[in-house]
Amino acid sequence: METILRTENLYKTYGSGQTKVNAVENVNISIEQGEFVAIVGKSGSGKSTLLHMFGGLDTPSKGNVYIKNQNIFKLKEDELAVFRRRKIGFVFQTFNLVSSINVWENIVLPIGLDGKKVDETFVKDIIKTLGLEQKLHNFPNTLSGGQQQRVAIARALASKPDILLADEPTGNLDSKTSDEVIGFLKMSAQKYGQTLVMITHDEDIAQIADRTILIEDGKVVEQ
Amino acid sequence: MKKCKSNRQSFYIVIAVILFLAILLFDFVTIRMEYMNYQDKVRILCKMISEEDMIQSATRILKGSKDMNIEAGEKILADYGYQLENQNALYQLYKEQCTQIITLSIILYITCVLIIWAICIIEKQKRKMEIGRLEEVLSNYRKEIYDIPDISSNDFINKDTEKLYFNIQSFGDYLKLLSKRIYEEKEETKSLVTDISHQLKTPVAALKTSFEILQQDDLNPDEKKEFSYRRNLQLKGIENLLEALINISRMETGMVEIKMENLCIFETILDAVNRVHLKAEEKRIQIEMDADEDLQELMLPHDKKWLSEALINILDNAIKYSPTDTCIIIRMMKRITFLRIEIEDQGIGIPKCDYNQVFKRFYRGNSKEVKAQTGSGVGLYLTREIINRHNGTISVSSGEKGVGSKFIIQLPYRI
Repeated sequence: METILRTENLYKTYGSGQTKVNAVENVNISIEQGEFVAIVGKSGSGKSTLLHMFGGLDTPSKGNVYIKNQNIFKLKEDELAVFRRRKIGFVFQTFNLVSSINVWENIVLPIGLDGKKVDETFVKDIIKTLGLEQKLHNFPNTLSGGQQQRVAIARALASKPDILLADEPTGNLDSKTSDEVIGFLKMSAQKYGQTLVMITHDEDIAQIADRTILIEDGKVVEQ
Repeated sequence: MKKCKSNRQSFYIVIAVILFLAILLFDFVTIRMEYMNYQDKVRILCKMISEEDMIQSATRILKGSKDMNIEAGEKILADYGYQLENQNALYQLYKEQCTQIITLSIILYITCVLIIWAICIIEKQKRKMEIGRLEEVLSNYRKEIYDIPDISSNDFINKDTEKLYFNIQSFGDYLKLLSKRIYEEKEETKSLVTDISHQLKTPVAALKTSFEILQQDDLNPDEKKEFSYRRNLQLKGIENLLEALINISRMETGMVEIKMENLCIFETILDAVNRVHLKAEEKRIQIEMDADEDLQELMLPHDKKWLSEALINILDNAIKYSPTDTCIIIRMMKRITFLRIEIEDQGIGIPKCDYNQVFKRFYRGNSKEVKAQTGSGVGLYLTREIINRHNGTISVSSGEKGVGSKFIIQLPYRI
């Protein structure tokens, strides 16, 4: 097994002096390729900050993040953006879809940004599996929460990322739909050898993961 | 390293040489200027003595007149025994100045060289210390001490060494993770051996006792029958355990091949139900199926043998840990990507903190109801593995009315 994501003494500190808060404190973890890891913790425990640093969306106060042995914070801003687009897929709780373009355009947007050709059979396969075939020409705001989340997942998967980072991907969904969304993420990860790192506060969902990392007050208390 | 060192040394040598040349040039220029100065003075002197009107000649000199007829003056001076390159007070002065300049520059040069030398030595020592630090860190790694002090960027004068330090540090972090993982694996293997030996110990001990009793001659037929029965029971238990272990090891080493075939999933479930039906009947437990008619004909890629094995493990547990006269409901629900199968019982349930644990190998609950039942704690582990191989998921929660457990299985329609 190969380590795909590794952090080294990762810190994120806000404020200074008496108001100093460690949102993330001395996190050392390694995630293997193909692993499905759930990061569990109460809200405000620093899990989102941690996930954002995994993806280079946030810079650490101290420490390093290595993806495939590349220290991502050694990259220049534009290099990091390209690296992120090619290697990392994000699924957010708030979907973050572009409301002025339709579902299909939303899904292939990141591929277009990279100037790559859309692998239509692959993307259509994802769309079919996610049950979005009938909705391709709809605009995001005409879809239900579950459907919008499916679009966000399809978008994250369409560029075939090595790592999928999901921040409470089921936060707005009912339990049956969320079971299904998690199942789908897991299946996709298995099928395409992707690594899945998912934040959740729902311990029922964490059962499905290969490994659970418990975060309390920014620290890893259990792996 | 050697090359780096010699590079450094030649760098200092080059600096010393350049400095020497610069001072030489400076000396040359100043001495030349002094000499010209001296010549000017002599010229003025010659001019002054060659003309009668001193004031006129002085003003002419001050006005910067170039045409100075100094030959007459030179002649007069020579007549009096003062020659240009000879002993005279002005020439002495010039010579003294030259000596001063040369002495001063030699002192300056020596000082500079000394300073450079000192810097060279200090740097050498610092570098030695830095290398020493690296060596210390590495020897700590050998002693499995992975926490090394963080350094600020000013700690190293040599940027290459600093980079090396950071690299070594990150290597150490990696080693730390690795050794932790090895430790965990070792612990897991240990507990695995303990678990297996523990699982085997009880039935083997009971078996031994049964055999010992059976060897006694004074047994009446009833007793003989009783202990034969027990012996068979224990043997059966060992057999089951071994079978489970073999299944696990085959599953883990990838020897089990899940053969996906597009088959009717409803029938596979029915098959599993039929195989536990007798046990359920003994406890008067009803097994209900709740599925829409179109789902009863749904074809889904799966391995009939292994999937029904997985379902049997769940149903077995449900029957084992449910009181008599209860009901087990199997629901099938059509979702978008997955078929959702829920198996709900009205048994003792699973505490929330154990949800994650029950799927772990050899894990058994701590309640007395669980301990009262025989079991090896491998069933649900195997089930999870099988479902995983189907690209599906399995999780557990409490029953809908807060009683019993509900296992949720999701199987994809397409693989």
